[in-house]
Amino acid sequence: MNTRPSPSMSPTPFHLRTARLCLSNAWVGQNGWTKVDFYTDVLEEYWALRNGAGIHDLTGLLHYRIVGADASSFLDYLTTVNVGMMPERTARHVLWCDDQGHVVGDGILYRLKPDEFRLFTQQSSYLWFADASVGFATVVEDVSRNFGGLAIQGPDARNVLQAVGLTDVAAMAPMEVVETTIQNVPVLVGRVSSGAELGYELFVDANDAPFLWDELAHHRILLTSPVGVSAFHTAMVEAGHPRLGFDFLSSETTIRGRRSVTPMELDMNHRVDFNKPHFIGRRALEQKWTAPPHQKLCGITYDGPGAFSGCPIRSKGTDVGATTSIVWSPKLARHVGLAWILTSAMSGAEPLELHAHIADELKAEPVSVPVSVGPRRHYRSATFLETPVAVA
Amino acid sequence: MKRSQRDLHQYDIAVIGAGHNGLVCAAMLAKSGKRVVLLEARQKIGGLCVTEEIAEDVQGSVCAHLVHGLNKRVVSDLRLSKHGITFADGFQSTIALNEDGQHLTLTRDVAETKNNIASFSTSDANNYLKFDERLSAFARVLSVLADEPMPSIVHAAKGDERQWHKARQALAKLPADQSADFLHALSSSLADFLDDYFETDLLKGALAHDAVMGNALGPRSPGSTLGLLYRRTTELLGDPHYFGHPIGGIGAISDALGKAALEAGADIRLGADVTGLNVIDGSVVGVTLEDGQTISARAVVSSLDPRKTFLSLLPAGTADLRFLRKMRHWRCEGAAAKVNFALDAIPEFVGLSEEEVTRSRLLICPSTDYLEFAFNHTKYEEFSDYPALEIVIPTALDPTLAEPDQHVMSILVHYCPLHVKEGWNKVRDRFVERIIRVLTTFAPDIADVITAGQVLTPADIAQDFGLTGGHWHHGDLSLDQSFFFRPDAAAMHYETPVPGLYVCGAGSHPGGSLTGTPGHNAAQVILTREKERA
Repeated sequence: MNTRPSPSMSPTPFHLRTARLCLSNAWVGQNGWTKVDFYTDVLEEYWALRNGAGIHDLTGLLHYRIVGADASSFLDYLTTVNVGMMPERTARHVLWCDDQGHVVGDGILYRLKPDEFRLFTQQSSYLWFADASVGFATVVEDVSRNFGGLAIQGPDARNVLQAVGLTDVAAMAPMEVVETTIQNVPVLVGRVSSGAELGYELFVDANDAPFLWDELAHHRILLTSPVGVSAFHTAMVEAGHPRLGFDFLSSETTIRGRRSVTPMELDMNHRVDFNKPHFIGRRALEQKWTAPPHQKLCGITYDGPGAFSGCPIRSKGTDVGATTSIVWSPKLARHVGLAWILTSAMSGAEPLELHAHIADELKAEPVSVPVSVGPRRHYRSATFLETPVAVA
Repeated sequence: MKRSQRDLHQYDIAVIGAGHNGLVCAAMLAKSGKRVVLLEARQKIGGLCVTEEIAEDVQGSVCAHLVHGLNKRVVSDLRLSKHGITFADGFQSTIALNEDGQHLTLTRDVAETKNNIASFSTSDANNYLKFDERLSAFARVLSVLADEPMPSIVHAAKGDERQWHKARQALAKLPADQSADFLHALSSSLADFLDDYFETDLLKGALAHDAVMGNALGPRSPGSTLGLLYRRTTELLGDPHYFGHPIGGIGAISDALGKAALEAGADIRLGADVTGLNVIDGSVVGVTLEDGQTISARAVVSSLDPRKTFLSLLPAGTADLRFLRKMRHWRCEGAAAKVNFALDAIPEFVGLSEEEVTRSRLLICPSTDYLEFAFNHTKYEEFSDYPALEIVIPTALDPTLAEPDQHVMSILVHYCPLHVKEGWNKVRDRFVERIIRVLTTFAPDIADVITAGQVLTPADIAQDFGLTGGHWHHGDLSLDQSFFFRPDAAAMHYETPVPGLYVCGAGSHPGGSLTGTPGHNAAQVILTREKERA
């Protein structure tokens, strides 16, 4: 049966636990669920994630189960990556495009078995998946409401999981996936981390969600802290992961054609593999492949008075781009974030400036701040890729 | 192209479906030296243009029954006159039947028609000349676009500018006040359009009938006037000598096209039901038949309807999704039925001589409202008690169809839904009873002379002829499914988004009716493109 999340707001499966801890009473909505924005203090939560182990309620991500004899060939048709070559028990970041090669959505794909996958996305693409799956022996099911998911990130993340009995995680390499149990409760673990830390995602049946929370949050020896949306987002921007709906738009929702973007404009050429059967948008991408992209989603940093999201970037007084997500990075002690910038302005020859206004009583004070443009990844912890050698 | 490469494929081109467009396309391609195979699922060529037994020892035009716009270029390029088509000496006029016996005869001669209308309304008679002239002027603009592949809207290709120039010139030839009328006519409803010119219901009913023929549109549906313009366009592009009832029934046209295709060197395979397109590395390289046999070809041309081609024959994962979504939304639910009766005498019609009955096309569609009311029912999976009927009794002029004392009454029925609530098996007889009841009003003794009959609802046409939805024209002829959008902007040039796959059926530009124009246009494009691909 295919189910879709109901449009009304509802608490997450972790609500009874998170609500007790949410002293700020600051809640935000995501895809129909209410989530904690910050529990007590954003900075405290941020440092817990960077220095210890932060736990974040992943509800709000849409969770699709894709099974059937043709699941792999369906996903090869749907996405731009080579799913057929994806080993079992691994995860990948995947994109799916429309006929024009414009990105419709992105997400993390888990391959559990040769014919069973899970796909996690920020925005619903259910109709797109359902339409694309016609003719394939596969079922696409929205199971977002059937599961509870937690992210645990930070240098202590592995120790915490081992301490609660998840011994299998010790040898897990980045983007590896394991189906295991904690005290006989089935749990799906992926070493997937959006905050550039050593991190894991854990999914259990929605009914077991409070159990999972209790196991991770109330460990007697190792300290873990709940992390709200704000701190989690800060880590994500530092890691340079663009978010669908914020940093770029799905071509299913854009009104002006220029707002639709190609994988090349997202600098995700490595997510497009022509060495596989036809996929949606293939012919358009083949045509556009060699032409330099018109614009690119870049990383920018600056020292300045505020986090100016959605502000113009100028070169010699002309608009050449705009910021999307900007955060104050506690780790780097600067403002960091993402911006769309015309490729023609990226030679570095001309200095780029960010233009914004600061409210000053009755008038707005214009400010311009020099920015440096570079790769999107602003930060990655030393433990992000580290995997201990498995003990025989 | 190197010889060795060419020999990898059994054929240069495989054409699916031997309807008239498939036949024309195959013949044109074979004539240009291509090795062509034409694959037909049925045991007979012709598609909807076939003469078959409608009752024991009685032959009839099973589906389509009259010719009024077979493209001149098809006739001359394939030298059809050589293949022996003769037309019955009649069926040049239409008689719109009136319940009071005062009928209206519309002929191909405008002045004569004007005189006939005058006995109903002087103002209508005067307006008829203006109406006819405008219709022809509008059709001349459309014929520039219809007689060739559509020029591109966005990516101007070679030749596009020339064609746009021709279309602009044709548009510029319209007097200033008429160019606005033309654009208005493209999107207006028939009822509104006809009301602008006429007051006589009988006249408006007859004109409206011909415009909606085969489409799931009523005379009050917005955009239904396009059908009127389209019909006039096909007549303008059509060979005027190929008009009415061909001796031997409509199948005679298909037989002549078949002879032309064979003579040009095409192979025609009957009983070759294509169940799938074979794709290698994203390109179509042949077809698979129902018996598992495969036929390889450098390119495949489908004359089937767009849904069948792209949603049923093309394997999943071959075309992009937005395109497939559009094909899934392609409207091709048939709305017309065909009823063929075998008669043992010519029935008497009130107010008509026997000569008029056997030499004219008879229409029972007394007003646009009558037609609209008949249409209303199809929306609710019902059929109307008062359908509009187009009747032809060709046997008096065509002795080849039946024994001298036997006759055929060929009736096109508007409207008839694809599905009925009760299921067709339960209500088929009732459907025929309704038709006979309507006929009885005009021909009181009709029930006594019917000896046998055949009913083809859209569901039957879908099943017997392999047409999705059983739609006469492979899809409604409405503005959103015409020109740039027939069947879609990505396939309006007969080339499809899938390399090696072309379309040439009534679901492609310019559309349906027995014209051969899509098949002819497609062959032109295919020859150019295949040269480029080689």
